[in-house]
Amino acid sequence: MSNTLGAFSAMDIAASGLSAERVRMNTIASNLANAKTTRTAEGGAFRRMDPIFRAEALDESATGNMSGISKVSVGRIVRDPRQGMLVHDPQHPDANAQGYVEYPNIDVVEEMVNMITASRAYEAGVSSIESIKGMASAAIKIGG
Amino acid sequence: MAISPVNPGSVPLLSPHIDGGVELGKVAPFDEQRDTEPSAFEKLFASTVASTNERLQTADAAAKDFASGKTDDIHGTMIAVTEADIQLRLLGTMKNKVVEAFYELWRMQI
Repeated sequence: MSNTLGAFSAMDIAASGLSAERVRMNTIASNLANAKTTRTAEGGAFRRMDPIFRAEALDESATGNMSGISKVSVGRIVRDPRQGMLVHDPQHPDANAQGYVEYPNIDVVEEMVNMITASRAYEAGVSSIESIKGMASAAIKIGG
Repeated sequence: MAISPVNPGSVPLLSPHIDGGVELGKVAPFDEQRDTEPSAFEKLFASTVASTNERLQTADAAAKDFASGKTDDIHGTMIAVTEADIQLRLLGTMKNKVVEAFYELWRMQI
C-alpha cells in the first residue's frame, strides 16, 4: 500500500502485528518444547530464544505526522545469555567432568506468562481489525 | 408434445471464471465514439470498479494459496478477503445510489 492515508493501511499495520505475535508464539512453543533439552547442534544445553521487534515505516515517502506511523517486524531472534540450571547427575550422558548437567535457562512459568501476553496481543490485533472493518461498514451506510 | 433436451452450449455461462466468459480485471473502456467527456463521477466509478476487481483477484489468489497449502498465513488470507468484501460492498452501495438517482429522474413529471 503506497498511500499512508489509504483506507486499508490500518489493516496492513494490524496484520504486521499479528505476524510478529505469531513469530513470538513460535519461539515460545520452541522454548517450552525444549525446556529440558541438554543437547543441541551447537553443543551444550538449549538456550532460551526471544524475538526482538522493530518498527518499520509504513510509507518511506511519508512526511510530517504520517512518517511516524509504522508497522512492526521481527528484527532478529536473540538467545538469552542467562546461565542455565546446573544439576548434579554424573550418570547423565551430557554431564561434564564434575558430574554436572546444564539444563536450558528456560523457566516454564515465565514462558506461560509470555504465551498469555502473546495470545492477548494477537487478540488485540484482531480486535483492531474488526474495529476498522466496522468503521468502513459504518461509512458505507452514510446516506443509505 | 416432445420434450427436447436443453443444449448446454445454448445456455450462457454466468460464472466469470469459466470458459473465459467475462474476464475479471477487465473494465470496459469508455465509448470512444461518443462526443461528450466522461463525467468526474463516471471516472471515479470506473476506477472504483477497477480497484474492486484488483482486490477481488488478490483475495481470490490468497484463498487459493491457502486452500492449496502454498501459504499458512491465516490472518493474511482473512484480511485480503475482508478488504475485498468491504470494497465490493462500497461498490454495491455506489451502484445503488446511481440507480436510485436514475429512477428519481425517470419518475419526474414533465
